[in-house]
Amino acid sequence: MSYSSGVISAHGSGSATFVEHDQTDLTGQKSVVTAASASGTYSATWSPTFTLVVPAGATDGSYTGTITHSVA
Amino acid sequence: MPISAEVGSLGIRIAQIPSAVQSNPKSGIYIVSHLSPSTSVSQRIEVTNSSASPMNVSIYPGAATNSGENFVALPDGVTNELTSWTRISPASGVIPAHGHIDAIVTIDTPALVTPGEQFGVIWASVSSAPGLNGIMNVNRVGIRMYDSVGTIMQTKSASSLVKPPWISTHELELQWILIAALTAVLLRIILRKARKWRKKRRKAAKARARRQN
Repeated sequence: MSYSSGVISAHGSGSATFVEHDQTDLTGQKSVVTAASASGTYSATWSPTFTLVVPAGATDGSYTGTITHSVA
Repeated sequence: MPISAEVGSLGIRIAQIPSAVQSNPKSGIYIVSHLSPSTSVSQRIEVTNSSASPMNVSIYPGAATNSGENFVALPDGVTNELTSWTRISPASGVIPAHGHIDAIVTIDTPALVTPGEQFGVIWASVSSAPGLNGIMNVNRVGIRMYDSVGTIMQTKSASSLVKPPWISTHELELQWILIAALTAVLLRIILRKARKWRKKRRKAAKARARRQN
């Protein structure tokens, strides 16, 4: 499964440089958007796109997963 | 495959700064504390819901690392010493639409601790039910925790343990007992010497009187 953040919109009275880090494999924990040179109060919004590629030899059945977005 | 995150806007912030760390510029953004052995530190936080629907929120501590000023929150389920000392009340709740709930974060430091720095995150997390696509969406926001632990009393190794406060108190008492005992011995010696000197003077005076007679 891959992740693309798309356009990142910044809001707030402060400032920060947001960088997107599109990922091609979401196994484990990955950074998808980072902020640098941040000051004051700011926020960022984006609408990510997840792309799931089912391998040709995949076994039939139901698959489940959890996607967690963390901001700290 | 676009996945919409219909959980609204979840926020978390410091609601009360302990007086001990008020001068620290980070204390309004993060949980910053110096933890001494056998002490308890509490701080109020606020979890907000700016969406139009109530939110079921879980609040819990998670482990983190901070290597070279690069703060990294570790995956869910990973713990460290700081997370084992941290409790949050309430640990879950329903935040009304456009509302907030307060929670108290308490760090209970045990008597024996490894001196050093500990890092963590207080997470506020909301989860959606798994969709038809089989994917569950979890969104969480967190307050970083930067905590220095203990007063290093033995510096033989990084893993040396800090003595609990009662040991240093007893050591202080023992010092005073020793000083008092030594003073008493010195006073006895001085008094004995003084008595001997007075005896000698009396004898010499008597001898002088006898010679004069």
